[in-house]
Amino acid sequence: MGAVREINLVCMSSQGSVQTMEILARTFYEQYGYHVASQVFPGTRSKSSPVVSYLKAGPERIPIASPNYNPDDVLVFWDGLLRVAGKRAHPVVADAIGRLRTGNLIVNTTLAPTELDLPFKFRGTVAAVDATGVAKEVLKRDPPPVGIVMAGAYIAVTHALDMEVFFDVVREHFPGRLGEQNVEAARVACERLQIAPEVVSLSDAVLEDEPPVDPMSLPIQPPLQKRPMPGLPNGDPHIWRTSIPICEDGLCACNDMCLSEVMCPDNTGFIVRHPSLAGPPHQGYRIDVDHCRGCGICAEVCVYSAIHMFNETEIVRTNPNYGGITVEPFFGARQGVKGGVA
Amino acid sequence: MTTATDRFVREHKTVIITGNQAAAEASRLARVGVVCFFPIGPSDEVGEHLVRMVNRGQLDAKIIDLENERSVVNAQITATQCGVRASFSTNSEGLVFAYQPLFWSAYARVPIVVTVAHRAMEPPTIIVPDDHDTIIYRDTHWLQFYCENPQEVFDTVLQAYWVAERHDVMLPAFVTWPGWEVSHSTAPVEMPSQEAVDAFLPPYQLLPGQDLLTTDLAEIYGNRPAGGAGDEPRYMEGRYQIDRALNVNAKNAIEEAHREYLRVFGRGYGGLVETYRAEDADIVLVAMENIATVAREAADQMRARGFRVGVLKVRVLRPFPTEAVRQAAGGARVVMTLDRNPVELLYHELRSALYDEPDRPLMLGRTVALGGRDFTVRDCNELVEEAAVAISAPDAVPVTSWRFKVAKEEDDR
Repeated sequence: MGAVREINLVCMSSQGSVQTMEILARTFYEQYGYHVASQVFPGTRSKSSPVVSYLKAGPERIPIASPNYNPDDVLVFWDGLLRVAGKRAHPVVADAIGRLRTGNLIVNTTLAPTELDLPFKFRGTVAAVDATGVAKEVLKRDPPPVGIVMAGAYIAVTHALDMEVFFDVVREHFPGRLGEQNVEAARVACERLQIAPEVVSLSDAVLEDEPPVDPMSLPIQPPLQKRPMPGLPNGDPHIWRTSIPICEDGLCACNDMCLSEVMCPDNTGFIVRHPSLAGPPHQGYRIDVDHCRGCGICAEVCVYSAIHMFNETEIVRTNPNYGGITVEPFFGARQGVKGGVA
Repeated sequence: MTTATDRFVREHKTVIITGNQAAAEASRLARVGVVCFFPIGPSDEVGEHLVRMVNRGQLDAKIIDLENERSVVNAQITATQCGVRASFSTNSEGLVFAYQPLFWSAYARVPIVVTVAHRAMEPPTIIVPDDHDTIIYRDTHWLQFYCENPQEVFDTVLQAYWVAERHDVMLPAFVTWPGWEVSHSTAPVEMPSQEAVDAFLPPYQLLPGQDLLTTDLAEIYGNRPAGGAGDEPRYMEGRYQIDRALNVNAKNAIEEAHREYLRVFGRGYGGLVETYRAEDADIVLVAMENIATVAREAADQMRARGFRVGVLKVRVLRPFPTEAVRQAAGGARVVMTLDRNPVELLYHELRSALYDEPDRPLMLGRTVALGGRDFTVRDCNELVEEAAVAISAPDAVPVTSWRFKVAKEEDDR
């Protein structure tokens, strides 16, 4: 470990690695007066895709904010990203995780640290924490923001920072009740943390260099078809989303516009009126789960309370027609709701 | 209620904030009276941060959020015509949507400042950065500043207001920085006090007789604002006036703003351009924004290996600093531009600027780091090696080429 500490935070979009990086950077500054430099790889727009935040902290001025190719610590906000890295399905993720040789790996998972399948050569500490579970339980928010939980686990594993200093920075970043809840979530995470101090992995699945691509050999336009999301096995879209909105048939009575559709933060119209339901008053909407992050704003703002959030796992279990991203969720999933959840 | 930023601002001189937050803090210290807002990532954090300050009573400003970027820029123009400083941040698709009022603000001589965290143009639907979204406005008579890190973002926003609002300039300005790589990068930023900023940046003064608030709007309905540019028979004279304001007055003003800022705050970036070890250099790398950071590091490393390398950072793209570029790069044997846009603009600008030099250097253009592809110091070193080959064998390397490869740092453990 050099004088500069390099930390990679790898998450899916809106899981919160960028803000976590910001808070860790402030904690490093607050505690040691360290210089910090950081950079973000933002993923793609709208759809849930991997986001990587890189942080460097050290006593001297750090001239360049750049990706860390020799990280000391890696925080993985969703254990599926280990598979993504292993299949080299997303080169940025593969580099961000797979270049960890020694040091600390902190993973958000329900598995034990020794059960994790590490797709890269590594000798060091592996820590596992069910950050999603903790965040849901303590923060009571869905989708669960796991960033502070992961940062708390990071400090508990590495002792790189003082926990109380970190808590102060968190309280200042999230004023009021939200800050206290996040501090509590980080505390709970530290209690449930499982640490395996000496893990050895000899796999070398990750770091095969990609062969150079001739730009002119690529297709002029990508084929017009549904493609799996970059880096996600089977194009699985709902990764860390736990619930999806469903519009109840017959309740919707807005004439011209759907407020939920307008208020969708992705603003890509993931709620779309089904063609067979054209003409006011609408009987309901189809929800494109390919885009939905499960934030629940649509259900909050729906004028006729026609939209409700339902547990997606339950729907998938009770309704085999659901079929991941290819659904027509309105027709497929609703039956599942009636049969299994409602 | 306080945030981390609040306390840092109050208690520390140095704060750890992102590039976007730095722009918002600079706008606050510039005492903007209107916060215009329409969200688009990665620029939206600037507006969010300002709105938060207004809601917490730290900034006395009116928030205007309208249905799209075009309306928002029009609101910003109107606010400025009423004598109020206004802020707005957008990028790529949003900025293109606001194309028409961009011309209007320049030719009506309304000195608005629009901040831009770069994002590449669509399609594909990506949010990663390159310069393309602002360089396309090079012919709108806007001033264009390009920033390298959060500290420079902070300093340049203040300087942009200072320059744009000078009565011999009165032109709008872009202040831009790479999305994500700077906009969401947390770094130490030195934050001066309100008093110090007030000492540097005077309140905005309208030209005499130009206050919309005291004008009978019915009287002027249908007319463009007064002045050379607005008077139809004087169209050509008006455009000449704007050309002079941009290419003569603004250049002087930017240099003066740099000297004044250096005097008040002790920090500077060289005005129009910033050079690094370029005096005796055989090879001069020309870059903008955070590509220049990498180039400087590469210059150091390659000098240690015996190559005489210097760096010229073009900080202001419009007005293009022709004289400064000639002075810094005219004596080199090879000039290599590192363009972060798909149209090699920097290459063409440099080529034009150096064409009349008596012993003009060999020009090489490299397109790098488009759409957020990493550009490492090792990449830059390899490009310097190419430039060195060109000194003895000009035909051995391509004049322009694109760098796709990323030379990652080797695992040193």
